[in-house]
Amino acid sequence: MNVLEAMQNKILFFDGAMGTQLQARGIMPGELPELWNITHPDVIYDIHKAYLDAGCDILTTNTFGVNRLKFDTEGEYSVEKLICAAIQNAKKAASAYENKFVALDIGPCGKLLKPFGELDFEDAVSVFAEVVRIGTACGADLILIETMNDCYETKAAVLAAKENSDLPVFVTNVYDENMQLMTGAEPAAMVAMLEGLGVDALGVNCSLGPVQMLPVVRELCKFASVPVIVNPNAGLPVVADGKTVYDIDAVQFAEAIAEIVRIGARVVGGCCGTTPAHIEAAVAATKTIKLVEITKKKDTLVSSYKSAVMIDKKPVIIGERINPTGKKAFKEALRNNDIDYILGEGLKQQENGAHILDVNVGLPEIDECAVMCEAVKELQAIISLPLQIDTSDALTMERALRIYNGKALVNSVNGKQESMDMIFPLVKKYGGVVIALTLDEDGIPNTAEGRYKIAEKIYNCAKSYGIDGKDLIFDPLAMTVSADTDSALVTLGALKLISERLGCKTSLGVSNISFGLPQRELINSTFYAMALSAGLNAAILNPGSVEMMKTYHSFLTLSGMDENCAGYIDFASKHTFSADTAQAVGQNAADTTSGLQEAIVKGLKERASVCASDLLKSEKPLDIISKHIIPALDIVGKGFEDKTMFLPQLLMSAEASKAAFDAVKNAMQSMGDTQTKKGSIVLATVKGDIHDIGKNIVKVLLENYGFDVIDAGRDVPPEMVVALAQKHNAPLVGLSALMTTTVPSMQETIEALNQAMPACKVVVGGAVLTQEYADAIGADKYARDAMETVRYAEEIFGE
Amino acid sequence: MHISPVCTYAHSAQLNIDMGETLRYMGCGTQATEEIASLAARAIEAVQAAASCKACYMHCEIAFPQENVVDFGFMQIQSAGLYRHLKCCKSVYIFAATVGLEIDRLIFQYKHSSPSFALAVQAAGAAAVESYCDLLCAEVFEKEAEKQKRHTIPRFSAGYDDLSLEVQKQIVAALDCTRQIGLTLTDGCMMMPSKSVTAFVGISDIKMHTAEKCSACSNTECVFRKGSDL
Repeated sequence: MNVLEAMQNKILFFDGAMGTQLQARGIMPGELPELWNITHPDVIYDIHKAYLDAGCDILTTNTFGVNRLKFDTEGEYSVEKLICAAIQNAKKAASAYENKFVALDIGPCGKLLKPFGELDFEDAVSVFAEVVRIGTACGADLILIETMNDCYETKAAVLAAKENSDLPVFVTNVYDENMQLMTGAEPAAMVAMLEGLGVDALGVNCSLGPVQMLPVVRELCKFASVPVIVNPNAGLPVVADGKTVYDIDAVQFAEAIAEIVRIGARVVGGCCGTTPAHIEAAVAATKTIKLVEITKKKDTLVSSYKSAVMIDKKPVIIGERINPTGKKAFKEALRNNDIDYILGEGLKQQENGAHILDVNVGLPEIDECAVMCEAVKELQAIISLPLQIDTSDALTMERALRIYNGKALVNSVNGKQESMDMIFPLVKKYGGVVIALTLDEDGIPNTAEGRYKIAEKIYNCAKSYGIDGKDLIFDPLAMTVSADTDSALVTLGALKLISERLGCKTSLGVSNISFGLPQRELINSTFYAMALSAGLNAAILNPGSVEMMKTYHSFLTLSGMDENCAGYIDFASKHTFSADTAQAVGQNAADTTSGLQEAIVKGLKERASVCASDLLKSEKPLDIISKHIIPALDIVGKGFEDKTMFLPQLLMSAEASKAAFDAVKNAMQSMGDTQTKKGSIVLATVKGDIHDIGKNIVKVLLENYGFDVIDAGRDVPPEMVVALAQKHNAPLVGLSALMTTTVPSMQETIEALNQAMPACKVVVGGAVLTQEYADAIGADKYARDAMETVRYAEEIFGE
Repeated sequence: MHISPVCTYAHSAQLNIDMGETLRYMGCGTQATEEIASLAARAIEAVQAAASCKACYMHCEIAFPQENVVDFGFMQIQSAGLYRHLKCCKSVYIFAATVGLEIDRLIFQYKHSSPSFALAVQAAGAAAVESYCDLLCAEVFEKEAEKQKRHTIPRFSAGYDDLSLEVQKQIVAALDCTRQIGLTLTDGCMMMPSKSVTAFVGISDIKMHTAEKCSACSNTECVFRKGSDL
């Protein structure tokens, strides 16, 4: 019998703490417990045996921290030897009992993943993969990925397990009293992602006692279709007379475990502080409890690093703005690899009320896969909304789904066999909810029944790949009503058939309906209202469109989905509010004759923008720059150099002047005029260094002074700096480093630049740098602060 | 020598983040304009909302086997500065504290769109973790010390004086920080989440006159040193 069969009709018990037991047997703080697998195998064996005697079914091997980041890859205590010894110790203990299982224990790798840490996602996968391969070869019965406090690292570990082993995969995460992981994920988000990845059981361990865990357990049981695992600490630690004790004893622990089992957990055990006595008491306390059936949940869930979005009765808005189609500025941003632009679009849509963001970066002349991956990585670092990966390229879809931190919405599949054979295997592997378009090799049927037939075909094909109907959202395609006056009705008819007969969710891109007609928003918003009324679950639209949002909010209110009409009132009040503010700011600006200069000096972003727009009515764009913006920047720059103004003021002024510049630039563009840039400067935080706030400050100021800054980012290898400098023929490169340990990497970069581009100058800065350091590593210039870099750049560019 | 197990200290109430400290970390001391003060106030509010305070610590007796070496029973550290600082103590608390990763996410979010706000959040985050450390020292260490009629002395962190950042590897391992509070180190021994502190708090028989941690540090050139002319 394997472990999956064993948990079909009984509660399975994990063991309790290993660390606590080792401490009781004399292990010192900071000593690596995993070494004891080889140095004290008898002790490890005794601990395992004590837990088996207490009644546990699954032993966890003493391998929590074993991986190549912490241990040697060769020698007496190599990763391989430690894992093999650990599994042997556990198997030896289990061999005297029947139906006991040995779980290869995998804890966090000890490094935070990018972008907050420095470990690359794929490197994390590879670190875990090695452990999985060794553990599987040594004969573990299952893999337990536990104590994970980062959703992203959890995904890396699960992928490593699934790609390198056929063993069952169990996963438990650490939630705090706010029911979140350290990196923010809520239980529903973890369930969505982990079930999408195909784990066999999931749950919670560590940090809390069993009593504090109850709310988390309820949430997990509410959403999970796989068995739920709960391994709490022995209680909450309290200090009494200089000693740590837990607030509850083994009997109280067991009572709480019984409650956890009654809620629906199928696998239970203990974490920090628990002992064989805890497990024994818990086994006894749960003996007579009737098993709670594990049911398949029907929720359509997508998730981000933080939360899950349920696609159901209450309609969901998918923001459509991250898409270059028909947007000149967006295309320009993509060509310049301007990820900030994409982030700006994302944040704006989040503010405007989108629930999910569509991400499409398809442009023929760029490397779509690379840009998509970068956009996904950057967006998911700062935006808590789930993403919809929108691409027709198979490789781009695969890479994006792999690195996505959560369960994504996949845009899209259709009824063509080729499309289904491309998309469904990816969804099966990485998880996801798929938008399914009702078209196939024969085109788009012009009847509701015809579109339903395609939906049915897609549904059945998904099933054959093991993908459930809850993970499909059908788009019955809105077609131009001016070309066929029945088209809206056909679409709505198909929508109803799909939801009635297949029980699946639906989505629409509504704006196509009005193509070729005047006042398109009127048709769009009315069609949207009709579709919502017909039961539409999601729509891809522009959340910045007031007309569409009016329809959305009033629909929610009228259909009983807006408690106390609060959402509608909030929307309505905000809308009026923003119009008033714009007016007020405008009036202020008109009152002040020297408004722009003052706004910049004081760092008032909105006011600077309004003042610049105002001045455009009477002055030429270039005059505004030379007579107002530059003098204002000079005041602030000099103030900073004279120490009468400080860094935050310098930055606020820079941001205000950028807002003014943007207004002027727009005017120039509409007049067909273009601003001439002073020249290119490449900026980078050197390899090994992930602290880049200083570099970003320098970037903002240089841009303000009209330089074209190519931002290479942080942790940048020398060859990439050289490549960018060559590509843009940059006369100046700026390098920053925060730590002494990365100064050698700065030197390497300078040497590489000197060799490849002898004429290129290098300016360096950063917390640890001094003039002496800069001289020693061969920099052309050491800049103490951002202003000094600006002055040096002006010198180099001959001003 | 006595070594306690690792304890944890969580703080769920809102942190008090000092405006003056935030401005000091922003690099503009007491001379803030109205706009700067309002920027700092918004940053403080954002950090308060995002902070998730967690700490872990242990208590152990210490010995001085030779000059400039401190023995903690399970590790020895060579540092003239730490040795000087702890010379008057028989035992020490070793702790790690963090205000969480969400502060880093805020900095990340604003570093491109509004570097001035990112800078202010950075400063408010630093003030927040210091304030949390003050709370931990006062609520736990000082109270425990008082029970034995002893006193805590100012905390001393890696990076002060000659105490190498490398020491944090041992602290993070001994306190099992990754598991207890989610704290990790980069290869260069920088902490992540970045608004975190590890430190030693000595327990002395004598009450020291100053509770000021800057006074314990020999880096008189530090721009953030309290009392320095900004």
